[in-house]
Amino acid sequence: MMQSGNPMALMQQQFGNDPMFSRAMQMAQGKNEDELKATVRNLAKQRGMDDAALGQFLSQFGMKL
Amino acid sequence: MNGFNYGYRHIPNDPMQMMYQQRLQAMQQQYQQPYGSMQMPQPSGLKGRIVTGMEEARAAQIDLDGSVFVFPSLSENKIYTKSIGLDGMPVFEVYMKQAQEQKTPTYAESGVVAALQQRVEVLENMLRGVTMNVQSNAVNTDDAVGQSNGTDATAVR
Repeated sequence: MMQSGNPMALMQQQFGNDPMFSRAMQMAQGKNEDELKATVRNLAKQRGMDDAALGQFLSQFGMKL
Repeated sequence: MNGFNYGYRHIPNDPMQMMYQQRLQAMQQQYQQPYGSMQMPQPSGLKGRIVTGMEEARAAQIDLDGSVFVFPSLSENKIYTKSIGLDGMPVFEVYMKQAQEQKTPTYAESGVVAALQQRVEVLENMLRGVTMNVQSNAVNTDDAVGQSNGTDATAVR
């Protein structure tokens, strides 16, 4: 993925038909970093995850908010 | 190892058999979908379920793909809809059944109707007299001007 140039274009090509991916792209469009973080927190709340649980979940993938 | 390939791939000599095999390969390629373009099966119809109240609808877990879930509450005559907005927050809406206005006709009393009929008849008679008067005037103008103008009017009344 890294060697192919633009990873977003590759993901669009791979998952463009997936409605969940399309929705995620819509949600991310035009947002800055803080707004994206807030969106992720809101989505996590919909699944009953508070900030601590979200942080723990993301740490499994080596990510943090 | 020795350059011979025994087994797995059969190379037919018959041209008909070769044609069939080529056609089979073409069909296999046609039905092989590339990874990633596989679509999730889309459920048809509305998503949601019947609820007993607003709290149940608010607490319901819905898909995060932005689709609208419908929660009819039959006891409350309301329909709740819930979806996830672009900011990740739930969008909750309530639709309420509106009672239809029943138009009941209002009837007048028979005495009032009879009085009105009587007044209409009087007015009709008066109008009839006026029109006859106008007609007689028109006739009179042909014969002699001003000869029987006043007499016809008094005769009708």
